[in-house]
Amino acid sequence: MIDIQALHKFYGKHQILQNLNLNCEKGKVYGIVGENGAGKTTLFKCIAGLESYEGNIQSEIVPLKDHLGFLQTDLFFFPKITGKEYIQLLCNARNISLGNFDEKNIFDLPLEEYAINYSTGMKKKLALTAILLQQNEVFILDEPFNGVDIQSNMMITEIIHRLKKAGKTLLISSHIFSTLRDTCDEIHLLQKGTFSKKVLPTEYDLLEAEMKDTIIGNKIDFLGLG
Amino acid sequence: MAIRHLQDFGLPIAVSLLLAISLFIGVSAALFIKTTWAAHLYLVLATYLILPFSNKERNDFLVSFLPEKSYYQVRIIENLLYSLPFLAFLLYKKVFLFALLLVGIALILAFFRQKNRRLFIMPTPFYRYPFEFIIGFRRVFYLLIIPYILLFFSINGQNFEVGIFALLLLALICASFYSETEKEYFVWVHAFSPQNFLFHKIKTAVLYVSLLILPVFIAMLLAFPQQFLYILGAQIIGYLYVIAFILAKYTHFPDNIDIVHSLFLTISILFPPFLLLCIPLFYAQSHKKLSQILHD
Repeated sequence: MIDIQALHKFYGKHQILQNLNLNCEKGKVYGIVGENGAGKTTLFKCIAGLESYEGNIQSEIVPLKDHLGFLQTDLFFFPKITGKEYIQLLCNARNISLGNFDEKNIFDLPLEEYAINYSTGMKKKLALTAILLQQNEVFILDEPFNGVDIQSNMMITEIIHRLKKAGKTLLISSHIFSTLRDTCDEIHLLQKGTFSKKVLPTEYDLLEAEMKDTIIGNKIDFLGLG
Repeated sequence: MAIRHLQDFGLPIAVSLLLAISLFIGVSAALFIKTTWAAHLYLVLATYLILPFSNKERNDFLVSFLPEKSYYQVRIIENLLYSLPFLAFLLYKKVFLFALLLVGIALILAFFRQKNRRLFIMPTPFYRYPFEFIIGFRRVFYLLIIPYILLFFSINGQNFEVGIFALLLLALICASFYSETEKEYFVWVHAFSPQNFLFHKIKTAVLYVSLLILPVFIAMLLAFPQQFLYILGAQIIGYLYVIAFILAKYTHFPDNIDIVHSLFLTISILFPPFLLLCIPLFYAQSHKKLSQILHD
């Protein structure tokens, strides 16, 4: 479906991604975990074609970008555009005609209000609704669970399961390990721009424990919290 | 703000300042020569520039750390500073009543704070194809009234030139909706070729400009039927203004339009035949830029 080979990304002399290789199959969910600045968002932007890169990204669907739903972590909303108009814009971009808006508003968003005034979680849900309505084949969800309430988290998890069942390919990043555990077929650990580990579901507990150990270590002890 | 825009083009501050002042004086002088409504337009324009200072978030922020007295001092000073160029020109033109009115407006608006922005969402007839016209219309709906008022005076006073000015002004206001560059994502998301993307933008603009401009066009035809060719010519120039603005927007995408292209646009506005050179040139450059983001 998507084959990433020897992917490198530089900003000037600074290397962000180093020799990344990843093969994503149809109907599978891939988790990408890593600390802030590890290169997750840059990797996603390279796949989407929003960043230039060295190496190869090949896809069965050409051009991939026209069938890719990209939920960015830093969402932008135009001023004076309502939620409904935002969805209309993204659907127009893919020549998708929308029928009844109301029944597709699964997160019960106030679609007649300006999207820029939405809360962080509502903005995320609006952007997700829009890319779902685009009927994409591949989804990149960069931190889809951030800032979203518990009910919507459950809804997003279920949506991911349904997309997988429908044969879509998903790449997800999340700082909430449990959300990845519930949804991913494999998780790739991105450290300093390279994939340091590929983990299958049977090893998720081990990965979580390892990450806790590496990331937290004894750093909190220095705060003297008791 | 204008100076900052010019600096963004890479000009030194002194040159930017000189250019901004020259541009302001030039446009103002032309306005006062061309129309008897210059002082009225000045008031509207100055109010339009001052109004954003009453923005809710901005004022909430100022109130959060400034004592009440200092807050109002800041508001009054910034409103007066922004009015100053207009005020100076009005005084130079000896239209003292309008100068006084402008000071009054600046002072009154210093005490005005926008309430919650959620209260009113202005409906627009442009919902089918977001986003430029929806945003532009909601931002400057009150400016759109001016050409219609001018049209009324044109027909009422049998002044053909004012009517043509109203038609072109309306087209230029619509063209200005395309002056801001969107985030790359909102171009990337389109499953169109660069050619189709530009064609789609132009088609939407022509459709929506027509919605606003056709009533003026028809009214002018009815009032001045013997001037049919001139009215049609102005209408076509109006469409070409909008097309040139759309194409110019993408010549440096995702960066903003540069000073050379801005200059080309300004020349085109003042000398419309220049559009025939600008439009193909802008199209070729936009196509090239968009090819890096969209597929061919």
